[in-house]
Amino acid sequence: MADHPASPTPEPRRRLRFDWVIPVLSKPGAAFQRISASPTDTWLTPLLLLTITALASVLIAGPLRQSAALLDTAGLPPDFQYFTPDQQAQYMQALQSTSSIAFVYVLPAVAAALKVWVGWLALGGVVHLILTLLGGRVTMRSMLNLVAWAGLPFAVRDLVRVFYMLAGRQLIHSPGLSGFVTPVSTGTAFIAEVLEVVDVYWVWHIILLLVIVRVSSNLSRAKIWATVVMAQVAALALQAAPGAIMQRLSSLNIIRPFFF
Amino acid sequence: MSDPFVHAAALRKTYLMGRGIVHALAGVDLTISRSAFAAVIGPSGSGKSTLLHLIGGLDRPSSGGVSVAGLALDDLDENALAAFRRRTVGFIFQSFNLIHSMTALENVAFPMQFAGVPRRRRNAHAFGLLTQVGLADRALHRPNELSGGEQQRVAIARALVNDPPLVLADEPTGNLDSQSGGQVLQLLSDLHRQGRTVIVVSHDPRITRYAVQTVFLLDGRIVAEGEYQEALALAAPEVTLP
Repeated sequence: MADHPASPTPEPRRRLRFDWVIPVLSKPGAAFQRISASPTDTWLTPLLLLTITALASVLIAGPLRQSAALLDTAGLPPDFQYFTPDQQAQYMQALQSTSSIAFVYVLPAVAAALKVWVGWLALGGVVHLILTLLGGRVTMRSMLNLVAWAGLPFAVRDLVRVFYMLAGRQLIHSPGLSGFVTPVSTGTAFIAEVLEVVDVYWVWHIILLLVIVRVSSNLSRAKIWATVVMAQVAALALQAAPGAIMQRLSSLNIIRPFFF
Repeated sequence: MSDPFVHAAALRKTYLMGRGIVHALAGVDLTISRSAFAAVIGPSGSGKSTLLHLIGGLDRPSSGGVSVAGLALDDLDENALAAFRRRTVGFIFQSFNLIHSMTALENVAFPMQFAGVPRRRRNAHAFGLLTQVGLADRALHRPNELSGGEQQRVAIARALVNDPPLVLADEPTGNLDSQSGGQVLQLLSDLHRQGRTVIVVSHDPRITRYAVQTVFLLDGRIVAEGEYQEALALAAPEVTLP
């Protein structure tokens, strides 16, 4: 009887692979090889984790943001003491309306979830596009799986932020490197939004992106770097643009009432 | 006049009210010397508060100019004007303008946070000023827990927090009973004795005990100026005084 070589144990076809989380963060090279070879879509696990941690961050920041809106004097304009009592009351009323459930929980939660999911689709699409243009032959499905897992450092960042806010009972002001350009003026709003993203977890994410591009294609080192750099520039611009536009719109001066 | 500190030249301020134009100030020339205690008096609508707001950089004139401590306010952009107000001017208002969500201590400390003073120093300095105006034991009370006189004393402490050389008070006793009003005027007189320039808009006749210079305004013009009695005599045909 001829000996048959032992066939490798097939990977279970599960969509939720929480057992891959630690390997992705600790041994990304081997973990991404495995994800790349997986016949199943596994993007759901990292995206669930990213969504849950992002929502937890919003939930924990909520009460802090509410009390800050009402009590923290840092948000008041410098000339607030010169406002008449009526003007002060109107300003505080407007401030209170921004500390409603919708402003503090619902909208930030929707924005955080959208950022995770739209960011994943956009980054996956951009990396795939650039890789294809540079001669890579990776499928969109595989790239979306890999890019989703490469976002895990941001889940770690959200967890760290949650613990910080719980322990310190204070909001995180000027995250990342954005502290270098505060106070934010309309001119620096875009730069501040970009720098908000830049921190050690973002660097970790870049390293994971380099690994996935190397694992999934046979491109030269220069092309791997080019792919990641171009994709990140596009991703940062996409992430920063909404915030910068909001900042510009919120600082517009209405010089005459509408219709008059 | 020795060492002019506040100088207004051909100062005009007009407001558009509906289809009409109101001349709040119609060409005011005024000089107030350093460390003076000046009282601006006149009937309602004569332009007293407008004059004070222009001197303090809270508003800009329609024409003419104001200079304070040699600084022409017309030349300053909004940021520079805010810095001028922070460093040079302390304002006291009739309605106190305290922030109701803050304690007396926080109200006094509030302007310092924009001067970049650390929180601990802000609180220590604010508490020192509240002690100076006799409100150390009320530091942690909110404005609605204080009497009108106490609120005005908190406002005076706040006006002094950045150690301004110029104090502007707009009807500081207007909402106070006689005794509290007297205390407030005494505090303003103390500030004058400390070497600050104090300009007070007031209907309170007791202001004449302290003022070394009195300016009578009527319909946006200065009709008399000098020491109280002298100015009174000059203005008598036109002004009905309290």
